[in-house]
Amino acid sequence: MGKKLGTALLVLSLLLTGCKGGTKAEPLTSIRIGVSLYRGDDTFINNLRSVLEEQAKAYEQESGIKVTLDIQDAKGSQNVQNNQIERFISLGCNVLCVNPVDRNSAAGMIDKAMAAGVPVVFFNRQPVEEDMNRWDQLYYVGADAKESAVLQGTILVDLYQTAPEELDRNGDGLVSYVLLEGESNHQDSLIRTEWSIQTLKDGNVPIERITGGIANWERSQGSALAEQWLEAYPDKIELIISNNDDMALGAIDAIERAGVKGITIVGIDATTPGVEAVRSGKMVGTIESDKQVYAGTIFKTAAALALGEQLETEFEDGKYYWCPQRIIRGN
Amino acid sequence: MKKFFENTSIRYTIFVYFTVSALVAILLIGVSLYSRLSGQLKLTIQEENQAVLTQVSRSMDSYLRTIMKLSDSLYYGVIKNADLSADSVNSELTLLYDNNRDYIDNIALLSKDGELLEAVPAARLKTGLDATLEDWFGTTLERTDNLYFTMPHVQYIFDNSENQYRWVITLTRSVEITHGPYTDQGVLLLDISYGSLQLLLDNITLGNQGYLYLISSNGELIYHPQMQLIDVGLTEENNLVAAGYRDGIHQEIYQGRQRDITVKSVGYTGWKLIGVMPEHGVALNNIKTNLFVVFVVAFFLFILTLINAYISSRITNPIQELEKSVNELEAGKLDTPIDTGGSYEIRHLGRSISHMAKQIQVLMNDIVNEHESKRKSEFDTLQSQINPHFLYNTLDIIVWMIENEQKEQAVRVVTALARFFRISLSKGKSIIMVKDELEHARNYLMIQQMRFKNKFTYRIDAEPEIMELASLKLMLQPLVENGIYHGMEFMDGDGEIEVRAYLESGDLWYRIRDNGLGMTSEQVAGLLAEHPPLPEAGNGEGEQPVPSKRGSGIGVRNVNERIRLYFGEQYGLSIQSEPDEGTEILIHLPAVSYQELLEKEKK
Amino acid sequence: MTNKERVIWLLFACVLAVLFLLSSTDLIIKERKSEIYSIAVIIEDSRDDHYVNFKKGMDQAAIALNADVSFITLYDARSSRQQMDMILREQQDGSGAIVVSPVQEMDLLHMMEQNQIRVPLVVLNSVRTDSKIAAAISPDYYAMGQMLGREIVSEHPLVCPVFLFCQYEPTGGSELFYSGVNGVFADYGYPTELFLKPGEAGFDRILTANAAPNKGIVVVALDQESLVETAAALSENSILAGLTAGLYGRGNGINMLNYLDRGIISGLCVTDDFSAGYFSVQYAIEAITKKRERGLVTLDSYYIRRGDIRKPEYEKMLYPIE
Repeated sequence: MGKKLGTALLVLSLLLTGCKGGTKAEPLTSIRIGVSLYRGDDTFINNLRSVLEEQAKAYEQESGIKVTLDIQDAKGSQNVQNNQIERFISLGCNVLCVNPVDRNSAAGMIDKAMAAGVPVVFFNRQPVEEDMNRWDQLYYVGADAKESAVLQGTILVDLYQTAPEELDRNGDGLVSYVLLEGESNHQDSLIRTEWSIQTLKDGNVPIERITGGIANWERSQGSALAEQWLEAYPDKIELIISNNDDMALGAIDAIERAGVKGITIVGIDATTPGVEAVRSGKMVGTIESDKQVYAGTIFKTAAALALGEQLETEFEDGKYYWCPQRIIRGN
Repeated sequence: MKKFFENTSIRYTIFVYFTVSALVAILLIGVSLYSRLSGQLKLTIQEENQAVLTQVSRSMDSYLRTIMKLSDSLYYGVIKNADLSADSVNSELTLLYDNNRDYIDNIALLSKDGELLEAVPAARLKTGLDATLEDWFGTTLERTDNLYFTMPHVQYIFDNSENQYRWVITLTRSVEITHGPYTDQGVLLLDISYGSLQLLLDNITLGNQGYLYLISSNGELIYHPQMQLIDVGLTEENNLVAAGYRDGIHQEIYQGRQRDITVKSVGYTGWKLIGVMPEHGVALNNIKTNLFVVFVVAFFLFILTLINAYISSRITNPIQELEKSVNELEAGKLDTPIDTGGSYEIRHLGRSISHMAKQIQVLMNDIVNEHESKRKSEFDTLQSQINPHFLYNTLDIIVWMIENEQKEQAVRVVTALARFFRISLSKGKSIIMVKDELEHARNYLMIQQMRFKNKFTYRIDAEPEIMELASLKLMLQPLVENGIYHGMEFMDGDGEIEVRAYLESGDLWYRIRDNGLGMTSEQVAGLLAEHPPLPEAGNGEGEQPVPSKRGSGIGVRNVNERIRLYFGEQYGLSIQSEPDEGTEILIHLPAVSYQELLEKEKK
Repeated sequence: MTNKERVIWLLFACVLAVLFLLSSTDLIIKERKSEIYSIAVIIEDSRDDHYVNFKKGMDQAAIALNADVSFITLYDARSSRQQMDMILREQQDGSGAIVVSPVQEMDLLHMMEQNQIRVPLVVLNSVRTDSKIAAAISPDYYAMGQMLGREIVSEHPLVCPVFLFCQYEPTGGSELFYSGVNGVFADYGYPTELFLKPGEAGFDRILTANAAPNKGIVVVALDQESLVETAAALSENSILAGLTAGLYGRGNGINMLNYLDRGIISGLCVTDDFSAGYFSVQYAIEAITKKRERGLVTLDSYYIRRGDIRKPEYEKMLYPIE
């Protein structure tokens, strides 16, 4: 009799507790994030990736929710990336983080994700606005190109104001520069180029453009171009402005090979070797978008989307997040 | 086989026949459809594969042509007309590169000494690298008119980013470079990105588990879906043999499996596109499909068998019912009702059997009756073989004769009597020789003559040939007796009885004639009647020849009946009589020798 | 209809039903394509820098053999406890098989003895075999060390000091490599000295501190991390480069190959990591499906010099096509 009563009470209590939680959906205990990088050997992207991985592991330790981070390299091919997206979706990813190869061709990926109901966080290479507006589960995390450029210009302006002879080595009243540009169809390269120069002009720095070239964000290409220019314009180049750190490092390689001194170099990105170069004085400065914040935002947004939780970050227009950036100087 | 059919019921036979024919039909249809469809499918797949291969081959051609045209444009459009000491061709090269960056990783112009003159995108040779030592360098400068393609390799001569390597196919040609007044040889180099080739050829499946790969003219693999695995040794391919095939379709057996190989040459380069389609890769050979075919056959068989079973039942049930009835008939129950149903033949059979059963019943009844009367006659005959009255009377006469010292006559009478009775008995046989029957009649007549004190005379004639023929016993005596008692009693010595036996028309005849009182036709009829009207009780009236108490006791009728019973209806007695004139009785018998009949009886 | 006939009809109908189920539905014969095998790969490090080629092989196998491979790095590098926890967690989460490069072999064996591991295991970089291990894929580190030792001796016939650099006290594969190399040097009478990484500072301090006059130091890096660090230091600092007679080690990374090409590294022991990655997935799937055990599979080691990089027999192994 007593046993029966006991079991009945037990069952009843279980039912009640079950009922309480019954209204909500079961919380996920593991999430799966698919990440596709436009090119795995881009240093900045690589840095971002490491921080993303660290963040994922830290999150796992804290929250106890298992995070499966699937990171793939699209090797510069939109086709490969499309296949990767398909595979992610078929393997059951809860959310995607995509660094698109071709920002004009994000539509294919967006369609697939929409059809599967998988939210996407784009980063670093921004899809066109029309595509971003196709769905409300699309987000973009990036660094504002204009801001990077302005900050980059600010480094130089400040330098000129404090020590103009650093820039104008030959004292001819003009700062002669060469410009290393990123990919030709990448809007960041255009904006960075434009606004760097503009900032210098606004800062009343007398500049003279010797030449410029496209080095496609790559160190080896920056190195090759710089070498050509050093040969072509010996002793004329005073400043090398680079759209990113990799190309700047390439220029530094060329300078070291040529054994030339006295050229100021400035970059953007604050990649690990870039920061290293700034610390060792080879580069005068670089612009950092706090990678912890950058990768952190990407990760947190993705995790929140996967778990169906509220998003912490404030997104502009409900979609865009611009990472805060700061100047990193040598001294 | 025949035994099988003989031993199984008609129902099963029909069922088996139907089922076998259904099965054969289904199998034939199934097999022919299947093989036709399978063949058709195979053909269709083969054609499709060919189409795909042709398509890919065209894409390949187009791809290579684009690249070769690029090389041409670079040379003829840009380099040839430029004076490198004066202008820089970089912007033109950049333009061409931008338009083709999907396929091309690098464009580079090298001098004869290995110096890098131009490179798009910006590149530099590795520190310390001497380009003239590269394999293709010397060969390119020698073959001035040709475009030279290398095998896929990792791009090596240019500086790379740290963690990067690219697989490329290098296309080179010898060019003329103008430096001011001097022209010199140089090399125009295009690095074709291997990835773009992969893009072209990846993920193309031919049919089920078919694939294609690309080899150089001497069989080295340029592209294969499992390129890396083959190199490492995890799988193998028959590429070296395939290099020897001409364009077209071939069959080969590799690793124990048969496959169709289609070879298509790619223009200019001598490369070959090989399409591999395994023989077994036809969708219909799926286990499930085969099982499905089996299922369909079994299912139809099942349905048809059900229908067959029903039909054969419907047809054969009436037959079986009939058979059951026949079984009962055989068992002896002759009045079982016969079901008549089913097709008209079976109904006809049923009716006939029913009819026959009835007939049998009737016949059997007849036989029973016949036997009954035969038995009765026999019994009567048996009984009459010893009639006490005749014996008493005759013994009286003998006593009287002995008392009157008429010894010889007494002896004669006794002897005659003994003979008479001996033949009467004839050891129980019904058939005796004519000789004996006549003897029997003679003895009787002799005794009666003595009794009646020669009131009559008698004569017995017979032809000698008939003596050995068979005759029924106790025929003549009753008739003679009848003649005596109805004819001779009142004749006073004028009575004559004549017995004659003779052959006529192959039959045996006896004639008993007397000149007695005769009978009226009614009396004659009554004599032979089957069922003589019974004498009314106590009424001695009527002229019916009731078995005489003084003779053997068997009536004339009995004789007739016995004759007819024994020999057949066509034989017997016929009586002719005229009142006051006389009576003539004819006995008609078949002429059968005594021996013959005896033997027949034995059987 | 007799009972016997009824039974036969019923049997026939049953056979039909079974055939139907077999052929037209998925209840009995399942279409095999839908099976995706879940495999977890747990390495001993917190970064996947040295597993690039391995991952390429793994990815190709995953696509070819229908597997969902999750590559897991540890939060704290070389934490055996974390690794064991990770194994248990993956097992609980439904991994069909686990591929692991153990930080501490003994811990792994201990877990197996306690019957805590219920899924097939494929072990990397370890030569221990056990009935519970479906496959073990590893280079023969000892032989590799010996090979390297002999090559170095042949390249440097005159006796010179040999410095052996390592991040931590050599364990497992590194230890075997160490004994292999050391053994050869001992045989030939080359003085060897083992140096562990001195905190944050690099090995360059050791070199400068111990520079032998007129005799180049031969540096052998016992693990990949040390090799990369030393190479980077040498490429930056030409003085240091001058102190060394040669830098040797083992590893497959592109950066190492680049250093080799530039002459900073003199000789390199390489293994076919792509195949290792492919095999690990393949054997894991075999263990799940066919329950076949492969036992110990030894990867071949090769010694390459600068000129070997472009040779066709090495090219695809060093630079796998994806």
